[in-house]
Amino acid sequence: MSTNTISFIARRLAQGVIVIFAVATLVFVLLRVAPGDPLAVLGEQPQLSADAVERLRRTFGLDQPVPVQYVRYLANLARGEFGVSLTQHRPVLAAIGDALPNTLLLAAAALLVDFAVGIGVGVVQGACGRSRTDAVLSLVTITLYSTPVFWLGLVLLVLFGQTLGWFPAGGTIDPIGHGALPLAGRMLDRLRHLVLPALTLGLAAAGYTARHQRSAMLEAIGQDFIRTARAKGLRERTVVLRHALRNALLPTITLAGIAFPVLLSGTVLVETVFSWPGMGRLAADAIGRRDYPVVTGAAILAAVMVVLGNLLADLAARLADPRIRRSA
Amino acid sequence: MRLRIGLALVIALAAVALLAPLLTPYPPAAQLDLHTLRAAPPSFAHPAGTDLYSRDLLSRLVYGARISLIIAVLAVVISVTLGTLVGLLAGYAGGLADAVLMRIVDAGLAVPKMFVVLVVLALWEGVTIPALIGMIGLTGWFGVSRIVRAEVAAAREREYVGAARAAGASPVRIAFRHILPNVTGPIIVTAAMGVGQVVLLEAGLSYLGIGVPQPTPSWGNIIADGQHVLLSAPWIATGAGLAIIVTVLAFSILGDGLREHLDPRSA
Repeated sequence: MSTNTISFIARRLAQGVIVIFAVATLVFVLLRVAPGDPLAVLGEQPQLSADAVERLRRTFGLDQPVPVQYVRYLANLARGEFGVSLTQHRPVLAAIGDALPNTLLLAAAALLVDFAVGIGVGVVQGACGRSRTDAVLSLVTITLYSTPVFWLGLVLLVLFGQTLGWFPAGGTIDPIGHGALPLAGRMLDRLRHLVLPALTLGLAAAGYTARHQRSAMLEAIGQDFIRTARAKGLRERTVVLRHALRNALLPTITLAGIAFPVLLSGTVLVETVFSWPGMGRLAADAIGRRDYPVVTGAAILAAVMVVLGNLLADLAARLADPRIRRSA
Repeated sequence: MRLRIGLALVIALAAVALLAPLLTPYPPAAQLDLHTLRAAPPSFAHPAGTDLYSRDLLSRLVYGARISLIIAVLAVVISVTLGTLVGLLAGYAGGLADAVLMRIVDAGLAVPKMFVVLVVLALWEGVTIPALIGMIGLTGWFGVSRIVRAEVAAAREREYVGAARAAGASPVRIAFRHILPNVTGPIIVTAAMGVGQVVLLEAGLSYLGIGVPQPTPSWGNIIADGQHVLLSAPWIATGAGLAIIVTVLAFSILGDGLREHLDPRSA
């Protein structure tokens, strides 16, 4: 790794810290500005006396002036202390620790579907160049792009989960049989549960990726080096896959960084449709129950994931393209 | 071609939304058969069937178009206006203002949008439609401002801006009278695409039960109504899903068409 790359990573990480700080501030402001008492959840429990609620208020520092609360809040976050969930009676990090692997698995599988389908279709379209195939595929991709992800999930669920019974209709594992299976069986069980949610999330995103890949291909194919390659007498296959695709993949690599927050937005809905116990469900439940520490933790974690995703995408782009390495 | 198809579809949808009271046989929230309260399949009396509360689905779908389009168009007006102002400021002023604004934009783009809207709407007691519009609009400008900023930063170096400056025009005048008119193309395309995306977002929120409140019909909450009876009463969620797809498709095609029309090279 060159010093250039290291300084690039350092700069981007510093920017990332600023972004995460801004997100933390945004969440703090949103939670303070919103009407309603952070401890209202606890107040609804009749066995808690007003005195006990008052003590809790002091424990959480809610009796302090807002600027003091803000500084404490940032200091706690900086130390990695996310507090205790108000509804789950365990540390926020434990709740996130359970949910995060499920979401990462879902997001990774969805990204795989997204890029396999999106790049595949985009390349075919670019190679066909303004033909009937291109027009039909364009209609397919723009329709995918216009389909609500939760509706697509419901359709796949009814079709492949309930009617045909090929895949389980929800959850991450078979709640009864999973424990008794051998290792390979357990992995297969997880995989079978993953198929429909990942397909839903991935296909919904693939429409956009394909549109992007198509225009990148068309642009690459219009370049002089393609004419040179054709003039050399290379086969069209080689020209498209070796020369055009390699150049047209660059913008798509960067797209992966942008696709990530969109995927995370989608997980809220897809996890609801498929009862998938991930970050999206955790956050949606916490928001519904006004579990402020979990809301804060989930928002900051989402921001961290997006920042890291962007960094990885940019690093991949640098790796693939010497021009970016030199200019930065 | 695409521009025409997109325009035709969007005008048709707008007409449906505007003429909703004339097109619908029943009030959208009326429970027509309180004795059986059963979801009836599509029939002559109810072309799209009825839902589990015995409400006429065609009427709900048509009024749903009205709600969805009003929310989407107003939210996009807010976000595009804000995004354009911020983008103009950042792109034209440059320097510190640019750096600060763009870091805010990075932060805004780094949190999944669904999440921000969820947090705010869930914390506010009882969602009203104006609050929904405001929230979606206020969280939707980040992407727009980035696009506008890039266009403005490029336009700033052009000769006509130098000419205006030499003629003694003030920075505000240059930004609004000289640069803005030259970057409207991408803004219009973004706005058209944005309407479709807000329709999707609002449908998702309403599906989760924190968007348009019942009994006001929205395509998202109609799908939520039908999701547990997909096998016994598939017409409930199907019609609403198709309505969303057609609407978002209309605005996406319009956006594509506008892009082709405004910048023939990019198509």
